[in-house]
Amino acid sequence: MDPIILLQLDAVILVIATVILSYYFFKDMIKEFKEKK
Amino acid sequence: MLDLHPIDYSIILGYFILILIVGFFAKRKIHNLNDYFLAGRRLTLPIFVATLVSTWYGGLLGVGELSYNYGAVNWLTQGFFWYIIYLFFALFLANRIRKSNLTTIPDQLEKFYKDKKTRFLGAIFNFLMVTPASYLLSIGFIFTLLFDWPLWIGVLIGTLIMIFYTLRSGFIGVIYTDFIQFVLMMAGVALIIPFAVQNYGGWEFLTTNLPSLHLDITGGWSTQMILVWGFLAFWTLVDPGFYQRCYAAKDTKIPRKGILISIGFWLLFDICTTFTGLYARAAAEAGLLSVSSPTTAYLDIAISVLPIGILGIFLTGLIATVMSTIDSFTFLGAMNISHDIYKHVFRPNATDKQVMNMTKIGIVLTALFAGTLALYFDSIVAMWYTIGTIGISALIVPVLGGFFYPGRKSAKAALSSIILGAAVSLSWMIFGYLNLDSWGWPQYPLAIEPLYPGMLISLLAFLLVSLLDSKTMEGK
Repeated sequence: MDPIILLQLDAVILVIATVILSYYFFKDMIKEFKEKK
Repeated sequence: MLDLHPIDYSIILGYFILILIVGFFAKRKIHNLNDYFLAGRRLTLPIFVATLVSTWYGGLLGVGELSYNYGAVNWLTQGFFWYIIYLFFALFLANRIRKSNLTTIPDQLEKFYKDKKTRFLGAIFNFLMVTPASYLLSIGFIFTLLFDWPLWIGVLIGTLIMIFYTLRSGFIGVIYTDFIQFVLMMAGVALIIPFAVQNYGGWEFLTTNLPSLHLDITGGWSTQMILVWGFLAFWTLVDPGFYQRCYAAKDTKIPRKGILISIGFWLLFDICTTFTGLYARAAAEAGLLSVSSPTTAYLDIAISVLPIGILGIFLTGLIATVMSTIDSFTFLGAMNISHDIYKHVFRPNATDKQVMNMTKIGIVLTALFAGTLALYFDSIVAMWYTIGTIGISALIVPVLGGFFYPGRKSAKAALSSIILGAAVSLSWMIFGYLNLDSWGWPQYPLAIEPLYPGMLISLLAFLLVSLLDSKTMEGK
Protein backbone atom coordinates (compact mmCIF):
# COMPACT_ATOMS: atom_id res chain seq x y z
CA MET A 1 0.00 0.00 0.00
CA ASP A 2 1.20 3.54 -0.75
CA PRO A 3 2.68 4.91 2.52
CA ILE A 4 1.11 8.30 1.79
CA ILE A 5 -2.36 6.76 1.96
CA LEU A 6 -1.41 5.45 5.41
CA LEU A 7 -0.15 8.91 6.35
CA GLN A 8 -3.43 10.51 5.29
CA LEU A 9 -5.30 7.80 7.16
CA ASP A 10 -3.21 8.66 10.23
CA ALA A 11 -4.30 12.31 9.97
CA VAL A 12 -7.96 11.31 9.50
CA ILE A 13 -7.86 8.94 12.51
CA LEU A 14 -6.30 11.73 14.59
CA VAL A 15 -9.19 14.05 13.73
CA ILE A 16 -11.83 11.36 14.35
CA ALA A 17 -10.23 10.39 17.69
CA THR A 18 -10.22 14.07 18.72
CA VAL A 19 -13.91 14.38 17.81
CA ILE A 20 -14.77 11.22 19.80
CA LEU A 21 -12.82 12.46 22.82
CA SER A 22 -14.57 15.84 22.59
CA TYR A 23 -17.95 14.09 22.42
CA TYR A 24 -17.26 12.20 25.66
CA PHE A 25 -15.88 15.34 27.28
CA PHE A 26 -19.07 17.28 26.60
CA LYS A 27 -21.21 14.27 27.57
CA ASP A 28 -19.45 14.17 30.95
CA MET A 29 -19.90 17.92 31.36
CA ILE A 30 -23.63 17.76 30.61
CA LYS A 31 -24.01 14.83 33.01
CA GLU A 32 -22.22 16.76 35.76
CA PHE A 33 -24.36 19.83 35.07
CA LYS A 34 -27.58 17.79 35.30
CA GLU A 35 -26.46 16.13 38.54
CA LYS A 36 -25.82 19.53 40.11
CA LYS A 37 -29.26 20.77 39.09
CA MET B 1 6.13 39.67 9.97
CA LEU B 2 3.64 37.34 8.31
CA ASP B 3 1.06 38.91 6.06
CA LEU B 4 -2.00 37.05 7.26
CA HIS B 5 -5.58 37.43 6.08
CA PRO B 6 -7.92 39.12 8.60
CA ILE B 7 -9.82 35.81 8.93
CA ASP B 8 -6.66 34.10 10.19
CA TYR B 9 -5.99 36.94 12.64
CA SER B 10 -9.61 36.71 13.82
CA ILE B 11 -9.21 32.98 14.54
CA ILE B 12 -6.08 33.67 16.61
CA LEU B 13 -7.81 36.50 18.46
CA GLY B 14 -10.88 34.31 18.99
CA TYR B 15 -8.69 31.65 20.60
CA PHE B 16 -7.28 34.10 23.12
CA ILE B 17 -10.72 35.47 23.95
CA LEU B 18 -12.05 31.92 24.37
CA ILE B 19 -9.33 30.78 26.77
CA LEU B 20 -9.72 33.98 28.79
CA ILE B 21 -13.49 33.44 29.05
CA VAL B 22 -13.10 29.76 29.97
CA GLY B 23 -10.37 30.59 32.48
CA PHE B 24 -12.55 33.34 33.96
CA PHE B 25 -15.64 31.17 34.46
CA ALA B 26 -13.75 28.04 35.57
CA LYS B 27 -13.31 29.79 38.93
CA ARG B 28 -16.92 28.94 39.75
CA LYS B 29 -15.87 25.34 40.23
CA ILE B 30 -13.39 26.20 42.97
CA HIS B 31 -14.65 25.68 46.52
CA ASN B 32 -11.50 24.61 48.35
CA LEU B 33 -7.75 24.07 48.03
CA ASN B 34 -8.21 20.58 46.60
CA ASP B 35 -10.25 22.09 43.76
CA TYR B 36 -7.59 24.72 43.13
CA PHE B 37 -4.68 22.25 43.14
CA LEU B 38 -6.17 19.12 41.61
CA ALA B 39 -9.58 20.09 40.23
CA GLY B 40 -11.11 18.29 43.23
CA ARG B 41 -9.61 14.98 41.96
CA ARG B 42 -12.47 14.81 39.47
CA LEU B 43 -10.63 14.44 36.14
CA THR B 44 -12.62 12.15 33.88
CA LEU B 45 -10.96 10.10 31.16
CA PRO B 46 -11.45 12.57 28.24
CA ILE B 47 -10.12 15.58 30.13
CA PHE B 48 -7.26 13.52 31.59
CA VAL B 49 -6.16 12.56 28.07
CA ALA B 50 -6.60 16.09 26.67
CA THR B 51 -4.61 17.82 29.41
CA LEU B 52 -1.83 15.21 29.44
CA VAL B 53 -1.38 15.16 25.66
CA SER B 54 -1.47 18.94 25.25
CA THR B 55 0.84 19.72 28.16
CA TRP B 56 3.41 17.19 27.05
CA TYR B 57 4.16 18.96 23.78
CA GLY B 58 5.91 22.26 24.34
CA GLY B 59 6.26 23.29 20.71
CA LEU B 60 5.95 22.21 17.12
CA LEU B 61 8.80 24.22 15.64
CA GLY B 62 11.50 22.20 17.45
CA VAL B 63 10.08 18.86 16.26
CA GLY B 64 9.71 20.27 12.74
CA GLU B 65 13.35 21.39 12.85
CA LEU B 66 14.60 17.93 13.91
CA SER B 67 12.57 16.22 11.24
CA TYR B 68 13.69 18.73 8.61
CA ASN B 69 17.36 18.29 9.54
CA TYR B 70 17.56 14.58 10.35
CA GLY B 71 14.45 12.93 8.89
CA ALA B 72 12.56 9.91 10.21
CA VAL B 73 15.08 9.27 13.00
CA ASN B 74 13.26 12.14 14.72
CA TRP B 75 10.31 9.78 15.24
CA LEU B 76 12.57 7.06 16.63
CA THR B 77 14.27 9.31 19.20
CA GLN B 78 11.42 11.69 20.00
CA GLY B 79 8.60 9.18 19.71
CA PHE B 80 9.30 5.48 19.87
CA PHE B 81 11.51 5.46 23.00
CA TRP B 82 9.07 7.73 24.77
CA TYR B 83 6.12 5.40 24.04
CA ILE B 84 7.99 2.58 25.79
CA ILE B 85 8.53 4.71 28.89
CA TYR B 86 4.90 5.95 28.80
CA LEU B 87 3.83 2.32 28.66
CA PHE B 88 6.00 1.48 31.67
CA PHE B 89 4.51 4.48 33.51
CA ALA B 90 0.98 3.40 32.63
CA LEU B 91 1.45 -0.22 33.66
CA PHE B 92 3.58 0.11 36.78
CA LEU B 93 3.20 3.61 38.20
CA ALA B 94 0.03 5.43 37.14
CA ASN B 95 -2.58 3.70 39.28
CA ARG B 96 -0.23 3.45 42.27
CA ILE B 97 0.34 7.20 42.11
CA ARG B 98 -3.41 7.84 42.13
CA LYS B 99 -3.97 5.41 44.99
CA SER B 100 -1.43 7.29 47.13
CA ASN B 101 -3.88 10.24 47.18
CA LEU B 102 -1.00 12.75 47.41
CA THR B 103 -0.50 16.04 45.56
CA THR B 104 3.10 16.35 44.31
CA ILE B 105 6.33 14.35 43.77
CA PRO B 106 7.91 15.89 46.93
CA ASP B 107 4.86 14.57 48.85
CA GLN B 108 5.67 11.19 47.44
CA LEU B 109 9.31 11.50 48.56
CA GLU B 110 8.34 12.50 52.10
CA LYS B 111 5.89 9.62 52.30
CA PHE B 112 8.55 7.12 51.19
CA TYR B 113 11.45 8.39 53.28
CA LYS B 114 9.69 10.24 56.13
CA ASP B 115 12.09 13.13 55.81
CA LYS B 116 11.51 16.86 55.25
CA LYS B 117 14.95 17.50 53.74
CA THR B 118 14.22 14.99 50.97
CA ARG B 119 10.93 16.79 50.30
CA PHE B 120 12.67 20.17 50.23
CA LEU B 121 15.33 19.06 47.75
CA GLY B 122 12.68 17.30 45.69
CA ALA B 123 10.73 20.57 45.47
CA ILE B 124 13.81 22.55 44.38
CA PHE B 125 14.67 20.10 41.58
CA ASN B 126 11.04 19.86 40.52
CA PHE B 127 10.94 23.64 40.28
CA LEU B 128 14.01 23.63 38.02
CA MET B 129 12.35 21.05 35.77
CA VAL B 130 9.16 23.03 35.30
CA THR B 131 10.49 26.59 34.94
CA PRO B 132 8.95 27.50 31.57
CA ALA B 133 11.64 29.97 30.39
CA SER B 134 12.22 28.38 26.98
CA TYR B 135 8.48 28.14 26.35
CA LEU B 136 7.96 31.81 27.19
CA LEU B 137 10.73 32.62 24.74
CA SER B 138 8.97 30.47 22.11
CA ILE B 139 5.67 32.28 22.57
CA GLY B 140 7.55 35.60 22.31
CA PHE B 141 9.09 34.48 18.99
CA ILE B 142 5.72 33.34 17.63
CA PHE B 143 4.14 36.70 18.50
CA THR B 144 7.07 38.50 16.91
CA LEU B 145 6.53 36.51 13.71
CA LEU B 146 2.76 36.98 13.68
CA PHE B 147 2.39 40.56 14.84
CA ASP B 148 5.86 42.08 14.47
CA TRP B 149 5.93 42.93 18.17
CA PRO B 150 9.25 43.31 19.99
CA LEU B 151 10.19 40.05 21.72
CA TRP B 152 9.63 41.39 25.22
CA ILE B 153 6.06 42.43 24.40
CA GLY B 154 5.33 38.95 23.05
CA VAL B 155 6.75 37.33 26.20
CA LEU B 156 4.90 39.80 28.43
CA ILE B 157 1.50 39.35 26.74
CA GLY B 158 1.80 35.55 26.66
CA THR B 159 2.74 35.62 30.36
CA LEU B 160 -0.09 37.97 31.35
CA ILE B 161 -2.77 35.93 29.56
CA MET B 162 -1.52 32.74 31.20
CA ILE B 163 -1.26 34.39 34.64
CA PHE B 164 -4.82 35.71 34.35
CA TYR B 165 -6.57 32.38 34.04
CA THR B 166 -4.10 30.25 35.99
CA LEU B 167 -4.12 32.60 38.97
CA ARG B 168 -7.88 32.94 38.92
CA SER B 169 -8.92 29.33 38.36
CA GLY B 170 -5.89 27.23 39.33
CA PHE B 171 -5.69 23.70 37.94
CA ILE B 172 -9.35 23.82 36.82
CA GLY B 173 -8.51 26.78 34.58
CA VAL B 174 -5.45 24.91 33.30
CA ILE B 175 -7.32 21.74 32.36
CA TYR B 176 -10.29 23.42 30.67
CA THR B 177 -8.08 25.70 28.60
CA ASP B 178 -5.90 22.63 27.88
CA PHE B 179 -8.94 20.95 26.36
CA ILE B 180 -9.44 23.79 23.89
CA GLN B 181 -5.72 23.80 23.18
CA PHE B 182 -5.70 20.03 22.66
CA VAL B 183 -8.42 20.22 19.98
CA LEU B 184 -6.61 23.05 18.17
CA MET B 185 -3.26 21.24 18.29
CA MET B 186 -4.68 18.02 16.86
CA ALA B 187 -6.61 19.88 14.15
CA GLY B 188 -3.58 22.00 13.26
CA VAL B 189 -1.13 19.13 12.72
CA ALA B 190 -3.67 16.85 11.01
CA LEU B 191 -4.96 19.45 8.54
CA ILE B 192 -1.56 20.24 7.08
CA ILE B 193 -1.04 16.65 5.81
CA PRO B 194 -3.67 16.49 3.03
CA PHE B 195 -2.67 19.96 1.82
CA ALA B 196 1.02 19.01 1.71
CA VAL B 197 0.21 15.85 -0.28
CA GLN B 198 -2.09 17.77 -2.63
CA ASN B 199 0.50 20.53 -3.22
CA TYR B 200 3.65 18.49 -3.60
CA GLY B 201 2.70 14.91 -4.41
CA GLY B 202 2.91 11.49 -2.79
CA TRP B 203 5.61 9.03 -1.76
CA GLU B 204 7.55 9.43 -4.99
CA PHE B 205 7.95 13.17 -4.34
CA LEU B 206 9.53 12.40 -0.97
CA THR B 207 11.81 9.60 -2.20
CA THR B 208 12.98 11.72 -5.14
CA ASN B 209 13.75 14.90 -3.24
CA LEU B 210 14.77 13.96 0.30
CA PRO B 211 18.43 13.41 1.23
CA SER B 212 19.19 9.69 1.05
CA LEU B 213 19.04 8.92 4.79
CA HIS B 214 15.97 11.01 5.64
CA LEU B 215 13.56 8.10 5.17
CA ASP B 216 15.87 5.67 6.97
CA ILE B 217 14.48 5.14 10.48
CA THR B 218 18.00 5.31 11.96
CA GLY B 219 19.00 8.31 9.81
CA GLY B 220 22.48 6.79 9.62
CA TRP B 221 23.01 7.57 13.31
CA SER B 222 25.11 5.25 15.46
CA THR B 223 23.27 3.02 17.95
CA GLN B 224 24.97 4.88 20.82
CA MET B 225 23.74 8.24 19.55
CA ILE B 226 20.20 6.94 19.12
CA LEU B 227 20.23 5.50 22.64
CA VAL B 228 21.69 8.70 24.13
CA TRP B 229 18.82 10.69 22.61
CA GLY B 230 16.20 8.02 23.15
CA PHE B 231 16.88 7.52 26.84
CA LEU B 232 16.08 11.16 27.52
CA ALA B 233 12.58 9.67 27.68
CA PHE B 234 13.40 8.78 31.31
CA TRP B 235 12.25 12.34 31.97
CA THR B 236 8.68 10.96 31.91
CA LEU B 237 9.24 8.89 35.05
CA VAL B 238 9.68 12.01 37.19
CA ASP B 239 7.63 14.45 35.15
CA PRO B 240 5.61 16.56 37.60
CA GLY B 241 2.84 17.06 35.00
CA PHE B 242 2.29 13.31 34.66
CA TYR B 243 2.13 12.87 38.43
CA GLN B 244 -0.20 15.82 38.94
CA ARG B 245 -2.69 14.49 36.39
CA CYS B 246 -2.57 11.02 37.95
CA TYR B 247 -3.25 12.49 41.42
CA ALA B 248 -6.15 14.50 39.99
CA ALA B 249 -7.90 11.59 38.23
CA LYS B 250 -11.46 10.79 39.30
CA ASP B 251 -10.69 7.17 40.17
CA THR B 252 -7.72 4.84 40.42
CA LYS B 253 -8.22 3.25 36.99
CA ILE B 254 -8.30 6.43 34.89
CA PRO B 255 -4.53 7.16 34.95
CA ARG B 256 -3.55 3.84 33.34
CA LYS B 257 -6.34 3.95 30.75
CA GLY B 258 -5.70 7.63 30.10
CA ILE B 259 -1.98 7.21 29.45
CA LEU B 260 -2.61 4.23 27.15
CA ILE B 261 -5.09 6.31 25.11
CA SER B 262 -2.66 9.26 25.16
CA ILE B 263 0.05 7.03 23.64
CA GLY B 264 -2.30 6.52 20.69
CA PHE B 265 -2.72 10.29 20.28
CA TRP B 266 1.03 10.90 20.60
CA LEU B 267 1.73 8.25 17.97
CA LEU B 268 -0.73 9.70 15.46
CA PHE B 269 0.43 13.25 16.22
CA ASP B 270 4.17 12.42 15.92
CA ILE B 271 3.70 10.75 12.55
CA CYS B 272 1.99 13.91 11.26
CA THR B 273 4.68 16.27 12.60
CA THR B 274 7.55 14.09 11.35
CA PHE B 275 6.10 13.86 7.85
CA THR B 276 5.37 17.58 7.75
CA GLY B 277 9.06 18.21 8.48
CA LEU B 278 9.96 15.72 5.74
CA TYR B 279 7.64 17.42 3.25
CA ALA B 280 9.20 20.79 4.12
CA ARG B 281 12.68 19.42 3.46
CA ALA B 282 11.69 17.69 0.21
CA ALA B 283 9.91 20.82 -1.05
CA ALA B 284 12.92 22.98 -0.13
CA GLU B 285 15.31 20.58 -1.90
CA ALA B 286 13.06 20.64 -4.98
CA GLY B 287 13.11 24.45 -4.97
CA LEU B 288 9.35 24.62 -4.33
CA LEU B 289 9.53 26.09 -0.82
CA SER B 290 11.63 28.88 0.58
CA VAL B 291 12.75 27.94 4.10
CA SER B 292 14.38 30.80 6.00
CA SER B 293 15.83 28.47 8.66
CA PRO B 294 15.22 24.86 9.77
CA THR B 295 13.64 26.28 12.96
CA THR B 296 10.82 27.87 10.99
CA ALA B 297 10.49 25.07 8.39
CA TYR B 298 7.20 23.89 9.91
CA LEU B 299 5.78 27.40 9.77
CA ASP B 300 7.07 28.01 6.24
CA ILE B 301 5.37 24.92 4.80
CA ALA B 302 2.12 25.75 6.61
CA ILE B 303 2.07 29.26 5.17
CA SER B 304 2.86 27.89 1.74
CA VAL B 305 0.21 25.15 1.51
CA LEU B 306 -2.67 26.08 3.81
CA PRO B 307 -5.60 28.21 2.59
CA ILE B 308 -7.06 31.15 4.49
CA GLY B 309 -8.90 30.02 7.60
CA ILE B 310 -7.13 26.66 7.84
CA LEU B 311 -3.87 28.58 8.27
CA GLY B 312 -5.48 30.48 11.13
CA ILE B 313 -6.44 27.18 12.80
CA PHE B 314 -2.90 25.84 12.29
CA LEU B 315 -1.27 28.95 13.75
CA THR B 316 -3.66 28.87 16.69
CA GLY B 317 -2.66 25.22 17.21
CA LEU B 318 0.98 26.31 17.15
CA ILE B 319 0.32 28.90 19.86
CA ALA B 320 -1.89 26.49 21.84
CA THR B 321 0.88 23.89 21.94
CA VAL B 322 3.17 26.32 23.73
CA MET B 323 0.54 27.98 25.93
CA SER B 324 -0.74 24.64 27.28
CA THR B 325 2.76 23.83 28.53
CA ILE B 326 3.45 27.30 29.93
CA ASP B 327 0.30 27.34 32.08
CA SER B 328 0.80 23.82 33.44
CA PHE B 329 4.49 24.31 34.20
CA THR B 330 3.93 27.67 35.89
CA PHE B 331 1.21 26.20 38.05
CA LEU B 332 3.41 23.24 39.00
CA GLY B 333 6.24 25.62 39.94
CA ALA B 334 3.82 27.61 42.09
CA MET B 335 2.71 24.43 43.86
CA ASN B 336 6.36 23.62 44.65
CA ILE B 337 6.60 27.03 46.32
CA SER B 338 3.28 26.99 48.21
CA HIS B 339 2.46 23.36 48.93
CA ASP B 340 5.89 21.74 49.13
CA ILE B 341 8.01 24.48 50.68
CA TYR B 342 5.73 27.04 52.35
CA LYS B 343 3.17 24.65 53.81
CA HIS B 344 5.17 21.49 54.40
CA VAL B 345 8.56 22.89 55.36
CA PHE B 346 8.09 26.36 56.89
CA ARG B 347 4.44 26.83 57.88
CA PRO B 348 2.83 23.48 58.76
CA ASN B 349 -0.10 25.30 60.38
CA ALA B 350 -0.90 27.45 57.36
CA THR B 351 -4.60 27.47 56.49
CA ASP B 352 -5.91 26.45 53.07
CA LYS B 353 -6.59 30.09 52.30
CA GLN B 354 -3.01 31.07 53.10
CA VAL B 355 -1.68 28.23 50.94
CA MET B 356 -3.97 29.27 48.09
CA ASN B 357 -2.78 32.87 48.35
CA MET B 358 0.83 31.68 48.43
CA THR B 359 0.14 29.64 45.28
CA LYS B 360 -1.08 32.80 43.55
CA ILE B 361 2.10 34.58 44.62
CA GLY B 362 4.01 31.50 43.43
CA ILE B 363 2.40 31.73 39.97
CA VAL B 364 3.57 35.34 39.64
CA LEU B 365 7.05 34.51 41.01
CA THR B 366 7.49 31.50 38.71
CA ALA B 367 6.32 33.51 35.70
CA LEU B 368 8.59 36.44 36.64
CA PHE B 369 11.58 34.14 37.12
CA ALA B 370 10.96 32.35 33.81
CA GLY B 371 10.22 35.61 31.96
CA THR B 372 13.39 37.23 33.27
CA LEU B 373 15.46 34.22 32.22
CA ALA B 374 13.80 34.25 28.81
CA LEU B 375 14.39 37.93 28.12
CA TYR B 376 17.68 38.76 29.79
CA PHE B 377 19.58 35.50 29.94
CA ASP B 378 18.86 33.89 26.59
CA SER B 379 22.09 31.90 26.74
CA ILE B 380 20.85 30.37 30.00
CA VAL B 381 17.57 29.45 28.31
CA ALA B 382 19.56 27.38 25.81
CA MET B 383 21.02 25.55 28.78
CA TRP B 384 17.76 25.23 30.64
CA TYR B 385 16.84 21.93 29.11
CA THR B 386 20.14 20.54 30.39
CA ILE B 387 19.49 22.11 33.79
CA GLY B 388 16.12 20.36 33.73
CA THR B 389 17.86 17.05 33.11
CA ILE B 390 19.84 17.63 36.33
CA GLY B 391 16.47 17.44 38.05
CA ILE B 392 15.92 14.01 36.49
CA SER B 393 19.34 12.77 37.57
CA ALA B 394 18.57 13.91 41.10
CA LEU B 395 15.04 12.56 41.40
CA ILE B 396 14.57 9.48 39.25
CA VAL B 397 16.38 7.05 41.56
CA PRO B 398 14.82 8.10 44.89
CA VAL B 399 11.34 8.30 43.34
CA LEU B 400 11.52 4.91 41.61
CA GLY B 401 13.40 3.52 44.63
CA GLY B 402 10.43 4.58 46.74
CA PHE B 403 8.05 2.62 44.52
CA PHE B 404 10.14 -0.46 43.80
CA TYR B 405 13.07 -0.87 46.24
CA PRO B 406 12.15 -3.89 48.37
CA GLY B 407 14.31 -3.05 51.40
CA ARG B 408 13.91 -0.44 54.13
CA LYS B 409 13.47 3.07 52.70
CA SER B 410 16.42 5.06 53.95
CA ALA B 411 16.26 8.87 54.07
CA LYS B 412 20.06 9.01 54.02
CA ALA B 413 20.10 6.92 50.84
CA ALA B 414 17.51 9.21 49.21
CA LEU B 415 19.41 12.37 50.17
CA SER B 416 22.75 10.94 48.99
CA SER B 417 21.30 9.90 45.65
CA ILE B 418 19.66 13.32 45.13
CA ILE B 419 22.77 15.31 46.06
CA LEU B 420 25.34 13.13 44.27
CA GLY B 421 23.18 12.63 41.17
CA ALA B 422 22.69 16.39 40.83
CA ALA B 423 26.34 17.20 41.62
CA VAL B 424 27.71 14.81 39.01
CA SER B 425 25.31 15.99 36.28
CA LEU B 426 26.01 19.62 37.12
CA SER B 427 29.79 19.10 37.00
CA TRP B 428 29.38 17.25 33.71
CA MET B 429 27.32 20.10 32.33
CA ILE B 430 29.76 22.80 33.48
CA PHE B 431 32.65 20.91 31.90
CA GLY B 432 30.70 20.69 28.64
CA TYR B 433 29.85 24.39 28.57
CA LEU B 434 33.45 25.35 29.31
CA ASN B 435 34.52 23.32 26.26
CA LEU B 436 32.26 24.43 23.41
CA ASP B 437 32.94 23.15 19.89
CA SER B 438 33.19 25.39 16.84
CA TRP B 439 29.35 25.31 16.48
CA GLY B 440 28.91 26.48 20.05
CA TRP B 441 27.69 23.07 21.30
CA PRO B 442 28.95 21.78 24.68
CA GLN B 443 31.51 18.98 24.52
CA TYR B 444 30.73 16.66 27.42
CA PRO B 445 33.31 14.16 28.78
CA LEU B 446 33.14 10.90 26.76
CA ALA B 447 30.49 12.66 24.61
CA ILE B 448 27.81 11.55 27.09
CA GLU B 449 24.88 13.79 28.13
CA PRO B 450 25.01 14.90 31.82
CA LEU B 451 21.84 12.93 32.56
CA TYR B 452 23.49 9.51 32.35
CA PRO B 453 26.52 9.81 34.67
CA GLY B 454 24.24 11.63 37.12
CA MET B 455 21.70 8.80 37.08
CA LEU B 456 24.39 6.13 37.44
CA ILE B 457 26.04 7.78 40.44
CA SER B 458 22.65 8.48 41.97
CA LEU B 459 21.74 4.79 41.66
CA LEU B 460 25.04 3.61 43.13
CA ALA B 461 24.74 6.06 46.03
CA PHE B 462 21.17 4.95 46.71
CA LEU B 463 22.01 1.24 46.76
CA LEU B 464 25.21 1.60 48.75
CA VAL B 465 23.81 3.92 51.42
CA SER B 466 20.61 1.82 51.69
CA LEU B 467 22.74 -1.24 52.31
CA LEU B 468 24.99 0.48 54.85
CA ASP B 469 22.04 2.09 56.59
CA SER B 470 20.14 -1.17 56.92
CA LYS B 471 23.24 -2.89 58.36
CA THR B 472 23.63 -0.06 60.89
CA MET B 473 19.98 -0.48 61.89
CA GLU B 474 20.42 -4.25 62.26
CA GLY B 475 23.52 -3.65 64.43
CA LYS B 476 21.44 -1.46 66.74
